Parts: sequence; C-alpha cells; structure tokens
Amino acid sequence: MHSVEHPCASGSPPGHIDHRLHRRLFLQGSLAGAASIASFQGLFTLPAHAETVKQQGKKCILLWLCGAPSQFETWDPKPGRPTGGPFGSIPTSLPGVHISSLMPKCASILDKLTIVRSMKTDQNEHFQAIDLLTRGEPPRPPFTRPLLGSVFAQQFGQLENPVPQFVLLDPCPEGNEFKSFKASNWAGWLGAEYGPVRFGGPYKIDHVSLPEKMSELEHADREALRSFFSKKFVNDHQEAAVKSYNTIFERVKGLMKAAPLFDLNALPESDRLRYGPGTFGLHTLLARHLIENGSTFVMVANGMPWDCHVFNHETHQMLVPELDRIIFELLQDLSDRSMLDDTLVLIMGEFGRTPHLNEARGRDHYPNAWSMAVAGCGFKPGVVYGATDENGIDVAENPVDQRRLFATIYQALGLDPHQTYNLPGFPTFHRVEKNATPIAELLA
Amino acid sequence: MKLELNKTGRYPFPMGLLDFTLQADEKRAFAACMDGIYSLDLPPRDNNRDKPDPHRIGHHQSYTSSIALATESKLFSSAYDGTLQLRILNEPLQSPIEPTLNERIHQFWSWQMVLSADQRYLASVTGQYLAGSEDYSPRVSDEPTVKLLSASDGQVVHQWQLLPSVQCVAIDPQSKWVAAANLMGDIAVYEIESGKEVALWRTGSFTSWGIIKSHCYIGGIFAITFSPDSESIYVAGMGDMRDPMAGNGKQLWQRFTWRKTPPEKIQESHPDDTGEGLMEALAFHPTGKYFAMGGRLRGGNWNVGFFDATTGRIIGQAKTGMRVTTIRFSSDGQIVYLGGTQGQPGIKDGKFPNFGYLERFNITENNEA
Repeated sequence: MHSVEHPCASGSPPGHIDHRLHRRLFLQGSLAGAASIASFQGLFTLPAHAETVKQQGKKCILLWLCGAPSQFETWDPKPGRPTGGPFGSIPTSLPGVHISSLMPKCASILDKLTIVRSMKTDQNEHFQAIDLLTRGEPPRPPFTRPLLGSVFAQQFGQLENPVPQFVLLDPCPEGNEFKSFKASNWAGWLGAEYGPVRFGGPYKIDHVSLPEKMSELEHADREALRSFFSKKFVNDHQEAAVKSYNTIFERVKGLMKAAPLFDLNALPESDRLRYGPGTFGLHTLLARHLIENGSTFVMVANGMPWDCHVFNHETHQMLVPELDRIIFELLQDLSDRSMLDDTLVLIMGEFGRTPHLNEARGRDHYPNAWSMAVAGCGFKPGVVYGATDENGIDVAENPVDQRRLFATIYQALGLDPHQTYNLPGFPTFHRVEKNATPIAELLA
Repeated sequence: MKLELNKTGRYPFPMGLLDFTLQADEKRAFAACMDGIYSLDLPPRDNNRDKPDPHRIGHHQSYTSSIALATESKLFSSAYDGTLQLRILNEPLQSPIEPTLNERIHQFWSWQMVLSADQRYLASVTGQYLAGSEDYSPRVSDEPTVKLLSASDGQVVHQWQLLPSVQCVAIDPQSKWVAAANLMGDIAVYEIESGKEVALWRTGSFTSWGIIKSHCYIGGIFAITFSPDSESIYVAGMGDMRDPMAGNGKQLWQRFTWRKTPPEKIQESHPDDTGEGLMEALAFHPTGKYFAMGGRLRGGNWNVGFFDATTGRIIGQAKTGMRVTTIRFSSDGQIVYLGGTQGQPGIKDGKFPNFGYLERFNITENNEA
C-alpha cells in the first residue's frame, strides 16, 4: 500500500457548475480584472521570499507538438526505404545513431537527449490521443484524471506564489480537436487550483490593468465586497464551485502582479533572435523565463500544425528545423543555468504519422510505432530506447505505452508511480494504473 | 467543343511518379519516380492490353522530381537532393545508366526542372520554407532559388532570388522567358537574354494561413505554364483552405497578362466547373485551343479538367483515381498521357505494391456539343 495524496478539492462530475466555471475562466484565459502592475521585482518585498519562490524545485517544459509529428522526419528516419520520405539522415553525437537531416543541431547534442523510438499506443484520433498522452490513462467517466501539468503543479508548485504554476502557452485560438480538448477539465479531481492558466495571441497578458478611473483603494474595496458575498454564498449553499471561483480570483490577483513576466519584449533581443522568429520558439523562450521565475509546468503549443494529412514534407521542412533549433537553444540555456537536473523537458505529440504516404502528399495518424524525446531531470542522457522495423511500420523492440512512459516520468521526478489518490466517494485510482513499471534504462 | 476521353493504357511503377517525358515517336517513356529514374517501352497506340515492365535506369539520393529528354539521347533529371544528372542514352538501354553529369545545383530540393523548347537551357527552382517572422512568413533563401543552366554543361547562366519555396518553373515556347512561382503566390518572369527580372506580382488565391490548425503558410502555386503565344501565364494550385490540413481548397487556375504593368489577372477557373483538390499539372494542347489542368481529387467530379483557351470553361474531364503530377499531349494532339501516384499501399505478401502510374487516353473532339 502506497502513501496517500491530498483529497479531492473538486471531485464533482462533468456538467457540474464547477466544470462550467473552470472552462470559462481558466481555459479561455479570460482574465477580466483590474490592478496597477508593479514591476516583477516589486512582487517580493522580502528577499527571503523571493528566494523561496525561485527555489529550484522540479520543473517541466512540455513542447507539445500537437497534431502529431512524423517520426520519419525527426527521430527515426528510414532513408532509402519506401516509407522513408525524401529527407536523408545524419550522424549524431551518439556513435551509430542517425536522426533526420532536418535536425542538425539536435544531432550535435543527442548525447544530452533521451529518445524513445518505440512508442506504441492505441488511440488514433486526436482528442482521445491528446487526452491519453497528457493524462496517462484513458477516460473513466465521470471521473476526470488530472493532466501531468496539474500533477506537477500539485506536487511541486507553490499555490501562494503569485506566478502561475501551470501555464499553457498557445496562441492559436482554434485547432479543431485541440480546441475541444482545451475546453475540457484539465485539473480533474485535483481541483481548479491546479488547472492551467492559458495565454494566447500576443505575448502580454491582456485585461490586467486597472481602468483609469479606478483607484487601488476602490479596487481593494470591490475585492473585499466580492469576497464577503462569496463566503456568504458558500455558507448558504456549500458549493464547491464557489471555492473554485475564489481560487480564480486569487489566481487573477497573482497574474496581475506577474504580468511583466509575460512580456517577451523585456527579454534580451539576443534571446529572442535565438528562439524566434516563429511563435513556437518565442513561446518556448517564454516558458524558460517562466520556469526560471517560479512557474512549475509550462506547456508550449501552437495549434495543430503537425497534423500533415496534406503536404507532410512541405510542412515538416519548416517545422522540424524550427523545432531542432528550439530544442538546441532550450537545452543549452537550461544547461548553462544548471537547471537541467531539475527541469524535465518533454518533446512529444499525441502519436506519430503513417509510414505510407497518402495521395495528398501527406502522412496520416499512426499510434502503432512513433517517437518522442525527453531531457533532464532524472532521465539518462544519450539513450536511444526501443526500435522500429526497417520500414518503421511496427515496433521491433521494447514497446512503450503511455502507462510505462508516465511511470518512468513519475519515477524520474521522485514520485511513486503507483501511489493512490484518496478521493472521497471515488474508486481507488493510482498515478499510473495496471502496475506499469518504469523503464529502468531511461533513468539516470 | 466537348472532349471525350477513352483510356487505352495504364502502366504501373513501383513508387509514385512525379514527372515523365516521352520520346517523339512515343515508343518510350522516361519517368521521374520517388525511387529513381525509369524507362518504359510503350505498346503501340492500338495495343491496349500489354503491360510492359518499367526498368530503373538510375537514381538520385532522394525523390527524382523532374525529367527532360533532349535530342532523343540526353536525359536530364533533377531531384529533392538538389542534384542535376545527365545520362547519355544508347541503344539498347542499359540498366543502370551511370550519369555523365551529377551536379549539386541547389542546397535544398529541385522542386521542378524544365528544358527549353530550343533545348539550350534548363531551369530549376528550389527553396526551403523556413520561418522568417513571427507569423511564419518564409525567410529569404541563402541561395538563389531560380536557376537557369546551360543544357550543354549544366553551368549557371543566370540565377535569381524569389521567396521560398519556389515550387514550379516554366520556359516559354520561344525560349525567351522564364517564369517561376512560389508558396506565397509570387510569380516572377525573367528574360533569358539579359537575365533581368521583368515582372513580379503576387496572387493571394493559392496560399492558406491556417485559422483552424496551423499558424504557418501552406499551399501556393504548384504549376505554371506560358500560353502558346507566350503572352499569358497560367498558374494552378488549390484555393484557400478553411482547414489547411484537409486539402479542401478549390481546384484553381488563373491566367495573367504578364507584360502589363502591373500584370493583370484576365481569367480564372469558373467555380461551377471545379471541385476540391490540389492542382499541380498544366499543359497546352498542340493546337492551343485548350489546355489541361490536373492534380488530386478531394471532392467533385474530376481531377483532370480540359478548358477552352478562349472562354476558360471546362470542355472535358477525367477521373483517374490517382493524383496527377504531369500531363503531356502527343505531338499530333490525339493522345494525352497522365502520370501520377496513388496513396502508398501497405505491404502485401511481403512486398510494397505499385502505386505510381502512367495512363494513356485517346481524345475525341465533339464539335457538335
């Protein structure tokens, strides 16, 4: 029997008022509010508190390659094979290991990365696969398992920290299935306080400045009045939703103070040049900046650009070199800052793409054999785990499903993969179900 | 006038066929395929039964994208490895035939290569789409993206810079002008003699910037040709897509008078005549009375349409069941050849089934319709 986690803060089923509130206020990034913005340094009046906030706990940056990248054009090329596509492969810093010729920078630092070439999952539709690969388990309605980011926020985050602990950076407001997923309950049974704060579009936070005619005092009075009525409502109705609602207001207050952190223009131009010019790279830089300054989990996405049912090669020729450069710069920066030991970098989508080219110059969804990459935080660098057959059609050795992946991630973080959630009125849930074992070869 | 098409031959290739050319007597075809260069001895026009096997006579390090035959014995090919190769053909054909020229002409793909009518020049276009700004506009290429080469030795005659990726190129029937077009809908015309850029304009009809899935550019112009009198330029591709990953844009061609300043669009495919899908091949009939546009069918009735050169309306169509990459008419205009590729099938009985095809159709003109 493993140790017990915190009880559910909001374990109500889908459709409950809690979920409607989460959806509207957390996931749409609607940050209506008002306050004058102090400088970020002004957040911390006591140096000791600033040090606490910036202490080196476990962090994670998830580069979410939504839509699903092609393993053939990234980590598992098959040059010269009928399925290989037009791009070649290049040697890497690991003897005998080749990756796509579109990734020369990653090739030079492959000894810092951990590659899994044998992912094998069983969902081939976006929504279900995103759900699976971000939560680690298929749905079991009406219970909603939290995303990895929410688990991170709960385990390693600091709720009193004004800096948001779980951040989703995604400028694309649409995105088909990803849009639908973004509207789902991310924090699940952990409760709204562990849900993500989402920012999109321009990099600054909108709607967090006080209206010109409102003073600080008036704003404080309004907040006191809102707080009073909320408490009264809780007393009268015992609605868990109100607790979530209050959590949101607390979060907004924190965001108003943390807004300068989201100003990319305040970062050195040399950094923006290294990561940019594309949105995905700039958001990755922002993720690094947030992690450095107190966030716990930052998920970077950019709509679903990897879903190349048409123009696979024509699109990957642009997306992969950008990804290659971003990974290189991010790992270099984290290494230079001595942050890599405590910062997990996950680079993955929801599945891979078909070995076979379709008539539209595209590759379709393929969960049978695909690749992902990890770096830092307890993962053994320079490991290429698993393999596919000569045409990339099936996993040839060491298949990895989402459970073993999540078990390995939790183990690397120092969390017991099999710990139970003690949720009143719920069945027994584990962080990772079915006793899936971590992959020892991937752990440092 | 209406056209009727009657298929008289279908010849498979192991992998996708991206371009082909024919000997003048149409007894032999040469194909640029994903896995190399093939020759195919074609049966006579009245033989609809025989299915000759193609022979691989060479290959590049990546997909062979274009092929051109000069003076019946010089076979040029270019590829996604950025190389240009020349093979001298001697009878009987050997397999393989080593190239006498194997030159790296681009750092990235040769998207397309064409031979001038006078056989003096080759034009090839390149350019990798890399993010150049926050909204993923293409970055200017580090190398010239349009090259005019001597067909005698492969040396550069002129080279020009057009924003990547430059996906198609044409030389006019008089061998005086080169035209190229790109991902962003830019069309440029260059004078061969002087090497000057004489026209550059943009059509926004072919390029999508995804509002649903992707904040990047996708699509662009995939085929370009001059009219027989060289005065007009026709371009083809796919209209704007709501979902940039669905390939659901309109089948689209546009015609421009390129000598005007600025160039002017004077005609385009009629919405009633077209369905959905990427169009990537254009060819004029030898009479100049009509032209054909082909590509992939996503929705609608045809993937090869024949259009009256005067009215621009559709006068004939074919539904081939494959993505058509190249269209060529016989010199007498009675036959049209279509090359292309189906989706790649899965392994069957331990082998990858064929998925490239060359098809032959008889054309019947019905002037009473």
